[in-house]
Amino acid sequence: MTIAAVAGDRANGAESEAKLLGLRSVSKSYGHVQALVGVDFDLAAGEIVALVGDNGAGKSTIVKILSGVINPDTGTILVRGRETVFHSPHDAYAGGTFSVFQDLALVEALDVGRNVFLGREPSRFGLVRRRQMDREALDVFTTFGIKVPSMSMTVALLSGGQRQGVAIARAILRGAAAVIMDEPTAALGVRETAHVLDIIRQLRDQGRGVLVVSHNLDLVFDVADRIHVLRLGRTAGIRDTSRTTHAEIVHLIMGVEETNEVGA
Amino acid sequence: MTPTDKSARRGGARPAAGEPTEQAEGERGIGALARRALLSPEISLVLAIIVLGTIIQIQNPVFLKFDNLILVFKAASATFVMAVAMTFVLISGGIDLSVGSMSALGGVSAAMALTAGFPIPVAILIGLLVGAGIGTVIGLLVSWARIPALIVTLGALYVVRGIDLVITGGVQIFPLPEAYKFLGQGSFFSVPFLIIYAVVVGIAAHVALENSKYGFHLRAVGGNIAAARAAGINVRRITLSVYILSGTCAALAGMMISARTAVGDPASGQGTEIAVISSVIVGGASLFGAVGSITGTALGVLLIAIIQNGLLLMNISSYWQFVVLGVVVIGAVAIDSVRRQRVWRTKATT
Repeated sequence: MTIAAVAGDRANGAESEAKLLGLRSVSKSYGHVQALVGVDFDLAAGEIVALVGDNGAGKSTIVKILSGVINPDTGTILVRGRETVFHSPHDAYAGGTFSVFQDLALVEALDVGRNVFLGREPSRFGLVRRRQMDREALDVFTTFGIKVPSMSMTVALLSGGQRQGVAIARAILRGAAAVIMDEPTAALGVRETAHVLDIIRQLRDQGRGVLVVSHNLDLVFDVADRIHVLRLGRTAGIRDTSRTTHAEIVHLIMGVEETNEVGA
Repeated sequence: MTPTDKSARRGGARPAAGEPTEQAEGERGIGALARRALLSPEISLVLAIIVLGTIIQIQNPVFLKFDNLILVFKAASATFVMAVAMTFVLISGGIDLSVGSMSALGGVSAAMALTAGFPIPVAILIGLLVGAGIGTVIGLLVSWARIPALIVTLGALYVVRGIDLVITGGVQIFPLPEAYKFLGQGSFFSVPFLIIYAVVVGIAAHVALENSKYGFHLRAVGGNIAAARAAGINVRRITLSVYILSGTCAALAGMMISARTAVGDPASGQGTEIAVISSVIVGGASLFGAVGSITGTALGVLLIAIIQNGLLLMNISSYWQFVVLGVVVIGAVAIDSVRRQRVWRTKATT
């Protein structure tokens, strides 16, 4: 695992600590399709930022860049204010970013404890310390109010919300400072959605940064501190949730106010 | 089972988050016991062995005699060593059809080394290295060249058998040194060495599978290869390792057979791969990866050995054994498929 971190740190210390993740004039194109054009993005510790936009606006491209799945064509990634190149998702982990994807990357046939520690099992002399594993996992589940029937139940038997819980627990146990959640409540019921949003708020209250990608504006207004709107690969606007309205965000997404915003 | 029982169970299996879940509700009584037996391959196998053993014992009281039981275990020991490695292969999501040929090659390699005058430990090492070496080639073809394991090992079945016939000229190799024969025929307080080897291999494999990081990663690879890769598990190395293990164990089994029969037989082990895979599947391992255990495999091997022994004791023509084995394998997979639908709520499809 290598992080090519360039030490040319421009920001002052305290400020760069608060800024967990950033993008500066990032562009990415797939053939003729420009997925992102000169986008800036910021995620600070202790905040929930929502990334919204229509299909093809560039949301998932940003997620993939921030989680090390793809590299931008131009522009830079900042981790705690330092320019960084992610060569793989592991570099992103090492930088403290953990992505909870839609498919969650869980192994259905294995139980909760094994999934939470997948690839990072605590061990001594190559033997897994199962009790320690279950205890640490249970601590996290209790602290965050994540409810699963038991540590030894296979993930195949869990509901969508419980699976989200397992994936989030994994992020926490890996000490992720920034958590990226792609459509965290897709296909969840009302009660489960509320539960996942609770967990997201707890992550923020603990001083982690959370990036939530969602189509659901009600959810976004419910949980996010800041809303970053993308349109056709460009930033259409960034608004504090408390100082904007549904209508304004919808306009930004649809491009109705494009004349005011373009030029960025 | 009352309707309330059913609804309680359905509610318990997929509880909504934020609600306390009571999985155990409606899980008492004989119905629950039968359900648990059906859901655990080990328990259903033990029951099958008890029922079968009782039938055989009634027909022929020789069955439960110590000497006969030892015979059953001894006959199963080489199959078990191969089945242990096959369990790892199936859990990783692969398959190895080459173990029958590999066991023959392992046996004749050691036998040829012995007749060439190498000391016994060196000859055994040569046998193991031949197995590990061919396993490495198979593993690399599967993990790096990404050729399906079914195809690679089907090819290896023929290639290895061919090598085995070429180097021996199709001729049995004997006589073998007395000390080597002793390793296959001797016993410790009337427990044959062969059984001891099998038990040692079984225990080591059980610990590796259930308690080591390697075992955890192996199941992850078989369960969801993308998730395993994303979690930083070296998927290629794990895949490679199971074929090396399988080749090595097959060679070891071949040497156990050659030491017991006191001959390096290039024609031995034909069709063994099917018997081994059948035993492992009967033992509850899934052809679709992630699921399987050494205890299940041990019971599967034992069940099949008891069936063979029982047919013999009950004076049923040995020709029937293929029919019976086939029915047992299909029955085991049928039960497995029911189990899947209840435990995983998914069908075994690929």
